[in-house]
Amino acid sequence: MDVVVFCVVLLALAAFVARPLYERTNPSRATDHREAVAERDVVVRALRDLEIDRASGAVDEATYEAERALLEDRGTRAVRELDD
Amino acid sequence: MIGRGLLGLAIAFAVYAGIASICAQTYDKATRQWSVVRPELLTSARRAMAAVFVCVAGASGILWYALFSRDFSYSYVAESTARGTVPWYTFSSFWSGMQGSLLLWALILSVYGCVFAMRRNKAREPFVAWAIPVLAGAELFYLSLAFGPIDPFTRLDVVPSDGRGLNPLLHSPGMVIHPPMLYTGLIGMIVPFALVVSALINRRTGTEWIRVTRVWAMIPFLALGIGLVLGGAWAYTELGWGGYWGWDPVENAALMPWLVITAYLHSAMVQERRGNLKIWNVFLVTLAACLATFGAFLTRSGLLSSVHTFAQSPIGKWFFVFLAIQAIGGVALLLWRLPDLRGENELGSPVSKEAMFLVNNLVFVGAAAIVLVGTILPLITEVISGQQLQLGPPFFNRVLSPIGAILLLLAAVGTIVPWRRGTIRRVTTRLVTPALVALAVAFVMYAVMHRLTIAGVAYVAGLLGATTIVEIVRATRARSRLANLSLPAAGSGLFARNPRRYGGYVVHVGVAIMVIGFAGSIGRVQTEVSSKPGENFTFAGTTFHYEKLQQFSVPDKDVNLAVLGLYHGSHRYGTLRPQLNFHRNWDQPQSEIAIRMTPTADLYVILAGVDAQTQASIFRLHRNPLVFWVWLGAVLAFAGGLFALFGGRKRRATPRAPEPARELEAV
Repeated sequence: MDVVVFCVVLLALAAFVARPLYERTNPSRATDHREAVAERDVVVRALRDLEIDRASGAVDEATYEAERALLEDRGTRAVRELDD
Repeated sequence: MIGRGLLGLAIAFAVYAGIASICAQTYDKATRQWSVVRPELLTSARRAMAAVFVCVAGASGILWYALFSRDFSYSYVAESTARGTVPWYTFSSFWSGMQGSLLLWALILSVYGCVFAMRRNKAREPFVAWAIPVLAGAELFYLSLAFGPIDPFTRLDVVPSDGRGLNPLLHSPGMVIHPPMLYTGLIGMIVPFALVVSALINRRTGTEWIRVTRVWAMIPFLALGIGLVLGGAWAYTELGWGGYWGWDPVENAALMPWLVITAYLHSAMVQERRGNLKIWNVFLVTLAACLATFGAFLTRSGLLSSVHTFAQSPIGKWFFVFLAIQAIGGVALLLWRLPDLRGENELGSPVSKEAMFLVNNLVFVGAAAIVLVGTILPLITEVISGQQLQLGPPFFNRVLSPIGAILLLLAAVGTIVPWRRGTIRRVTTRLVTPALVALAVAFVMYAVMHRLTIAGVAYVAGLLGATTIVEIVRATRARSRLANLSLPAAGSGLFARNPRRYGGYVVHVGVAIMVIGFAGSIGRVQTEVSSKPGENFTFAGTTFHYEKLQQFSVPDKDVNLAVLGLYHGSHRYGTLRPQLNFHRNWDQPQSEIAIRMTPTADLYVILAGVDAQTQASIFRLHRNPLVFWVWLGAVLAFAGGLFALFGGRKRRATPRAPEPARELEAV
């Protein structure tokens, strides 16, 4: 009985694992924008935080301007990469 | 027979998954990265990881079935359970011994591997093909142990009529959940490590990597944290020494990776925000994974004695080999890819969030190093002088208490300091209100506890709690003004839009509350009294009336149950029922502790001995201040952690291509 159960499990799992090998799949040619998407999301969140920090008085004006410029530059690069 | 067969099958699928995943890729010299050229092979490898899970789950199911059906022909079943064992403890007896616990490690790892491989996620995709061989390799290691030297399916030649039953010390609801949570945390460290290996091989150590790894690091961070707290609760309610943390080698082994992964969760933010600390982050994840394996090595090698360790076994050397492969492989990869891991920006001003995170990281890793040295010192001294030098709780408490205070101060200041550059004047101004609130907390603690040390600790913890809460209030007001929202709407929006930041703040408040609870241990008092039924005795302002001693037998033990009435003057305000049980199969007594918990202090009573003829009983009495706050703070911290991990998931994290520019403009 044990041997029968084992053989059934073995065959079922082997079929499950091997099935993709018999299906035609082409390698994805889509442009890889994942790093740019991650960058953009980080920049959007950081800009939101920066606005709150400025309004609550956590950052001074000079730091705010410098940080905003840096983040905008980083965000622009990410968006350009996404647009390409 | 079928249990072992399934383990063998799982080994075969793990080997296939690793090889197929590597063969699915080719190295592209132009991009200097690996790309998947045979996706059907990678899909097959992913499915093989699911097949590993099915096989290990099947083998585990067979062991559970054997435990519940009392199939004492299995040696492990006969050792771990008995006919009188209640269902919950039968369930947890699965991991009460070396064989079952290793199978549980393999099962948890197979769950991680299956979820990681099968759940498609765009951000994770580039890392899957190289992470699968690492996960499959780790699975192979644990399965080989369960299939070979530590076989849970060994049969007995002579089948006993009843089993020995679960060790009485493991008769606790905590046993059902504490080990699985701890293992989920420890074994879970392998997933961020697999992502590190994949990122290094594939030269993808940017924002994308840190974002994916952070999620997979949060899971073991939370699980291990919950496991540690549950372990503390179990020690407190079962072991009968009045405390919840004893700096036991195995407790320390679980604490070290948790400290390191906590450091990583902070430094990951610096890499994400400023592109710095890449080398450090890779190092931390590798270190956390190695320390987790080291913990398993300590528990299973029998090198150090602890309440948690299993008996001396032949698998210590195999764990050591696995640890060496992990450590040497991780460091070699790091050195190989060192040129790709340079920081993108200057670290910035010393008065900045990134500087605070860096110092906090050094302190966390320093604390882990001290715990490591304190834990392995007995081994080192034994090698050098032939005698084990033990460093007990006084050493750890004396050295790590100031380090804990520094971490709390850094967290408090780090909450206020902005990214890039802050000014000391602005930081000081923003600290005034929290400092006054913390002072009030310290005064209250002094008034209640009459201890300057506790008040001092309460001040530092209060500063962190107050700073965090005041910052949340300030940010809520700012958002209310900016977006013209009511305060509740602005506050809830703040949490929903940035669950990581504000979930993290809730964790900090929880930790501050826990620390106030830890400080209570300074004011702990204890005594021992001998009393007979009908007599009274007084302890910590409470009069105990020893009403009666009940003696009876249940299938696996003889029970002595003392009933104690608690009085303030003539007012009865409660009853405690400590027990002293004799487990026949184990031939040892075990106390069931009675605790009356209040926010100010716990009354903790252990029935330590009973004279069968005179009924004279020995009671050990403890008054443990503020323990309630340890558990409350832990619950809050884990709620915050869960919110940071899962909060805001319903919102679309990555809008489709045309939207980002607009969103960026809108901000």
